[in-house]
Amino acid sequence: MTKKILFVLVLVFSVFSIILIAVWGTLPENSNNIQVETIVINEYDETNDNGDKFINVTDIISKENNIFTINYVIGPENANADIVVSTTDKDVNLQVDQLDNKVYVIYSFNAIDQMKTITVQIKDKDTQNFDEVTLWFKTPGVIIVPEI
Amino acid sequence: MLERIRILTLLQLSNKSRLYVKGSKRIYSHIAIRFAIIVALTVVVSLLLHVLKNILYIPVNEFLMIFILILTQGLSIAVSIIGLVSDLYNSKDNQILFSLAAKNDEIFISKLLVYYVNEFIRNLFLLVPIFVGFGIISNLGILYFLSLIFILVFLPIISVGISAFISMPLTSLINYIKRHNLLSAILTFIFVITLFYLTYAIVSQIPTPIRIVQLYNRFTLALTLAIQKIAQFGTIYTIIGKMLFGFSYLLNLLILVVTVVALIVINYFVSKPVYFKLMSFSQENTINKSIVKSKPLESKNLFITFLKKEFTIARRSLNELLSNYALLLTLPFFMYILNYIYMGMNRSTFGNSVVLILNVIITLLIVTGSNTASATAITTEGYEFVLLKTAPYNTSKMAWAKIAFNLFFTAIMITFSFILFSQALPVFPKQNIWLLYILVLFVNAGHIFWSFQIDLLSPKLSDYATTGSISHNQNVSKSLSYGLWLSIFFGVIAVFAFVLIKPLGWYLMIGLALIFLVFRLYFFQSYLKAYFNDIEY
Repeated sequence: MTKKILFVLVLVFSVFSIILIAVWGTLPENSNNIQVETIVINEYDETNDNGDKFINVTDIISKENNIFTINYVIGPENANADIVVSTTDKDVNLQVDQLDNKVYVIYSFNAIDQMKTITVQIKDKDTQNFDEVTLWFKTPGVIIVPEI
Repeated sequence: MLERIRILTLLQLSNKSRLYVKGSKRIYSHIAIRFAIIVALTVVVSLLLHVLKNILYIPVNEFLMIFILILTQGLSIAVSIIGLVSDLYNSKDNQILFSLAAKNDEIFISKLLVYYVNEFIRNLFLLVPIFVGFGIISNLGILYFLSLIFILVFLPIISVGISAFISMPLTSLINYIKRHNLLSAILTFIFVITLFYLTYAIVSQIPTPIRIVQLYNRFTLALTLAIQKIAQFGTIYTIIGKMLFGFSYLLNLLILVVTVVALIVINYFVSKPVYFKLMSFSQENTINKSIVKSKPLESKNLFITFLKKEFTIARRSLNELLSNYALLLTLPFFMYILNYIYMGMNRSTFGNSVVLILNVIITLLIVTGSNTASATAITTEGYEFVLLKTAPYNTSKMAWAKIAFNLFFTAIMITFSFILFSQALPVFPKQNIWLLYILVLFVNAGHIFWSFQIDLLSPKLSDYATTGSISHNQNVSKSLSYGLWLSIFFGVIAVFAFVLIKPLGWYLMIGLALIFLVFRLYFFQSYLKAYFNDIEY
C-alpha cells in the first residue's frame, strides 16, 4: 500500500459514493406528463416557397470557429421533452443541451472546406413533433429555388 | 565542438538507457518488439476513436486531434520542465560533467539532446498510434502520413526548447524560495486557498437539484465544446495541426520552421551567460547561512527541547513536511466537492444516512493516510539515533515530542478543513459536521499512536541511513493499510449507527472512537516503556 494507491482508492470510492446515493438514496423524480405540442426554431435568415428555414453560416463558420448554435423553443414551456437531433451529413456532429434548449452544430475541416449544406432536424422522441433548419454557405447572387 | 557534444550526449544516454554492443543482433529484436507495440497501440487507438465517435457521440474530427496534440505536448512540457530543472541544475552528474574538458554551453546542449531523444521516443509510443489511427479511420492521404514523420522530428525540439527556456527563470525562483522558508510556506498557503476558491467557484456552477444522468450529459457536452474551442488557442500546436490536415500547408510549415529555429537560437544565447551561474547556485553547498545574532533560548524540559527540534526540522525542510501531509491538504477539496453533490441531490431519509456513512469512510481514509510521518518517526533518525541514545537522559521523550508534533499538525489541518467545510456548505447540518470532527480527531490520534508503535517495534534505521529514502518502507505501508481497515471498520459501524439505531448513532461512533484512542494510547505507552531502550541500529 502506498499513498498513491490510497489516493486512487479515495477517488474511486468518491465516484462510487455519488452513484450509490444517486441510485439508492434519492427520492423518485416528479416527472410531469405534459406532452410537447410544438418545437420551433425562431432564428433563421430566410425561407423558400415551401417554408423551409435557411441560415447563412458563411460569416460565422470558419476554420477558426467551427461551432454553430441553433436555439429552439418548446411549447408548452414545462412540457416533458425527449429531444433527438439528426443531420443529413456525417461530417458534422450535433450536441443537444436540453436544459438551455440549444443544439450545437460542430463542423469538421472537411465540411468547412467543401462548404457543405446541411439540414438539422430537432425532434421530440415521444410526440414526433419536429422542426428543421438548413445551414448553408450562401454565395452572393444565389436565389433559393423551390423544389418542383 | 560538435564531437564533444556527441560524446557528452552518448555518455549521458548510456547512463539512462540500454545500449547494445556494435553488431549485436539483439538490437533487431528490440526494434521489432517496439514496432509491434506501436502497431498494437495503433489498433487499440483506432477502436477507441470508433467508440468515441459512435457510442459516446463525441466528434472525432481534426479539432479533436489538435486538442490531443495540445494536451500531450502541454503535459510533455510540464514533465520536461520538472525534469530539466532537476537534470540541468541539480543533477549529481554535473560535478563530473563540469570537470571534463567541455564548455558550459556544450554540456547544456548535450543535456537538451538527451531530453530530445527521450521526448522523441515518448512521442513514438503516444502520438504515432493516435495520429496514424485517426489517419486510417478518416482515410487521409499520403501527405498527412509524410507530414506526420516530419512533425515527429520537430515536436520534441519545441517542447524541450520551451521547457529549457522556462526552466531558467523557474530555477532562479526556486533557488530564491529555497533560501526563504517563510515565503515558501506563505506561497503554499496562498496556493491552497486559491485552489479551494477556484474549486468552490467551479462546483457552485453545478445546477441543483442535481440529476446524475443530466449532469453526465452536461459534462460531456461541456467537454466536447471545450475540446473544439481549445483547439483554436493552441498557438504553435494549432498551426502544426492545421498544417498536418493540409490547411495553408506552406505558410504553416514556414511558421513551424521559423519557430523551431528561433527556439534553438534563443535557448543557446540566453543559456550561455546564465547556465553555469544557475547550476552552481543550485547546489546545496552554495547556500548562504545567515549569521546567528542571538543565542537560542535553552529549555530545561527535555520534552520541550525535543518538540522545538521537531518544529525546527519542519521549518527547515518544508518540502518534506508538505509531502508527508499532502494527502491531508486534499481533505477540504474532497469534503466540499462530494458534499456539494450529495446535498444537491434530492435525497431520501435513507440517502441522508448514506451521506453520513460515506463522509465517515472518506474522511477517515484521507486522515489516516496522512500519519506516515509517525510510522517513520524513529526510522528517519537514521544513524543519529545511536548518538541520541548515548545521551544521559530519558530519550524516550523524543517519541512523545514527535507524536505531539504530528497530533498538533494534523489537528490544525483537520480543524481548518472542517471550518472551511461548515462555511462553504451551510446546508449540511452543523451538528453532524462537528460530531464528525470529534470522531475524526479521536480516530486520527489513535491511528498516530498505532503508526508510531509500528515503527517502534520495527525501525528501519540502517536502511534509512544507507538509502536516505523511505519510499519502500514497510512501516509506511502498514500504517496506510491499518488506516484503510480502520476506515472500513468505522464505515461498517456507521451503517449500524445511522441506519439501525439512529438516535444513539453518534454516541456509539464517538464512544467507539474514544475507546480505540484510549486502547492505542495504553498499548503505545506500554510498548514504549518495554522496547524503546532495546532499539538498535
